[in-house]
Amino acid sequence: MNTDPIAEGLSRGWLHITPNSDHQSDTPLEFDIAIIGSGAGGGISAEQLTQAGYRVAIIEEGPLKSSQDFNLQERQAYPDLYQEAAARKTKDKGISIFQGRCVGGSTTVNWTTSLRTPEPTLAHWQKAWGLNQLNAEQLTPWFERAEQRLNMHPWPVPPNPNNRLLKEGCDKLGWSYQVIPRNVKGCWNLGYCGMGCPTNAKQSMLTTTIPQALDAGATLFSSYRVQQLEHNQQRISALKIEPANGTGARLTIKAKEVVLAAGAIGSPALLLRSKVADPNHLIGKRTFLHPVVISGALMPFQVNADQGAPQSIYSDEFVWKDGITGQAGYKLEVPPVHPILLATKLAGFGRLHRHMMQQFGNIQVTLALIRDGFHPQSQGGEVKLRTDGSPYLDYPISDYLWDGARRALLSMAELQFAAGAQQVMPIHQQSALTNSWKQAKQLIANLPMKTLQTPLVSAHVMGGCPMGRDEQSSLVSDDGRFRYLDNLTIIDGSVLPTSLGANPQLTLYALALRNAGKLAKRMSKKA
Amino acid sequence: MNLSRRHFIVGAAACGGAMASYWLIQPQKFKPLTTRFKYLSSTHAQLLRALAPAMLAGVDLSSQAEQSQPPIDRLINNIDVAIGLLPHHSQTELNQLLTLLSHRGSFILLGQTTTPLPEMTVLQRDAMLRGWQLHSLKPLNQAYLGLHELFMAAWYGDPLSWGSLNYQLPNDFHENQI
Repeated sequence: MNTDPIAEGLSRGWLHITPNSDHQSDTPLEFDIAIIGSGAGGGISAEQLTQAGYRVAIIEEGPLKSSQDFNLQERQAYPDLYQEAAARKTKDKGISIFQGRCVGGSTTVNWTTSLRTPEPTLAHWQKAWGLNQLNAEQLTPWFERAEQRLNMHPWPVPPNPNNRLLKEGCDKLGWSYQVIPRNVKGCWNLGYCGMGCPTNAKQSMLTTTIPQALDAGATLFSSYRVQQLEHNQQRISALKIEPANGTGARLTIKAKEVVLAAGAIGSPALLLRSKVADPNHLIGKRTFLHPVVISGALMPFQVNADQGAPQSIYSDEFVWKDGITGQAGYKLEVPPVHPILLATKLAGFGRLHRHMMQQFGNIQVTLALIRDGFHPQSQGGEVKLRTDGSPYLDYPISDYLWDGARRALLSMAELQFAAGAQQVMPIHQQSALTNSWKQAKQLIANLPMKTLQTPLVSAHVMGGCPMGRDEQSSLVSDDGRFRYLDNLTIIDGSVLPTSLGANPQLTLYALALRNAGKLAKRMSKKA
Repeated sequence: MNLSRRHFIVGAAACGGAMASYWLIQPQKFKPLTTRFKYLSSTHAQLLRALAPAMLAGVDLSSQAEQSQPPIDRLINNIDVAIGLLPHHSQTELNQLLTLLSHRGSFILLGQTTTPLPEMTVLQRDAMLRGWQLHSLKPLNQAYLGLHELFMAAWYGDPLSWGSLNYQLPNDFHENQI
């Protein structure tokens, strides 16, 4: 087992302040750079900027938890490590959203899939968003740096049965599939990535860049939320931070530069609370989710989908089938299956639900992630604030996306029967166990595709502070600089102008490496 | 004073209306619980106990096999803990839903039945939940989904419930983890 870098670092005397710390300060704490959020964008930025010699504060809303805290139980992991105890939902409750809320952000709880930004996505960004500096050739060095830094390699171990069945179904149907690169080192092949890696094999921000930044002298404020940015004359003058659970000292942080990396939903929410300039009313709009539909299958043999690397095979067969801006495309992959995740997402209750749960070991689950944001009928959702300042996402699903969802359910059922399923249940409130592909086709064709009847989930929240060339339609330029505050750079998934069509972490690492480096250069010129 | 027939009918109707209104805002009649919870009121806990046999049909909630705590008590305790971990706005929504369900009048509207919940059979409770699951009105779907998530997370998140799933933690992490 890899050693726990967090426990070791704390014993070496890292600067770590929590609301429980014996730290009372009425005077503002001053830094060169304040980084809000410690996920993909914040972690990379912290490492880059401390390496460049700057005094850095990292402010994280979630707690600092490490492998000694990860007991592989969902009922602890979800409240400890996820936004809203993994119960975050869109305004109409139609989509369940899984985002990290802990040091390391979503990288602490993701399933390690590491894919470069698809070239069709980059091509679309150039054409529709003027992002000519972000083509594949120019991003390649950043992808390579991130892949090396976080030890990303195609998973060399044979896939677990849950993934193998995806592969076998694709083989039978002549669909393409690929092996997934994962950011792991010395992985035990357990299957608990979503509950925090208990062996420190996952090369998340928690085990890599944050420890490096803290070793280099950065100060970590954990369980602290930035409630507001104080700003005047187009500059952020201070950050007001307060305990995330309401108990403890409030602090003021001043910094020459601010990196906002609170993630899609979090970053737009802070800008809205702070009432920053937004002349084109863009903040929070065009927030995307890769909405996911789910299909469950009963196999005549043990699958044990809780065991083994959660994601090692995926299929892009349907992501770009109708072109970049045609019918909604979707990516096929599988999840790790653990009791709470399965029980809460399995539609239905009572005896049928119990029957399915008792077949736990024989269940294969396939997911389809719908690529949103590329078509005029897929404008995404909007981040808004409750009266207490907490954010929510209003994301109505258009007919265009429902069409994609239905086709995705059809593809998954076909795949699962091809892979040998005895029965398939498309996850829907009005669904049933089907005994053949023909029966499944008929069922799915007649399911009403509508909110709350068709359960949807999301683990990839993107957008809300879009980058682009045109001021009318973007809030930041391709280097993350916010147009209306001189010392604010946004380095996280909120800058994506569309969804990606691929799992986002590697895209975010690459953009963060690039843009944190640019920030460091700008600061050295000003010095 | 002589009451006319009209006065009498109007008066009787008014008294009847007032009594009906009084009846409608009364809580449903559950047996009182001795257990005290951190977040659930006694009425809300009893309401959830009443729904559990339908929501988790197939699970033996009354089993005497467990020494320390009957399964139904364990479930309600787990729900109480789970509610405490939710953000404030979710706690408020759940509390509102449970309060609506625990009053006779609002239960008649939501349950689409005049039978009080404590008097319903398990089959009737099953039918009511199914009605909410499939209803065209979104608030009823949302109510069902909120309860579904609460029950399923509370039951299946508990390691004591894993035996029937044949699910267990990896060997190296099994000891001292439960």
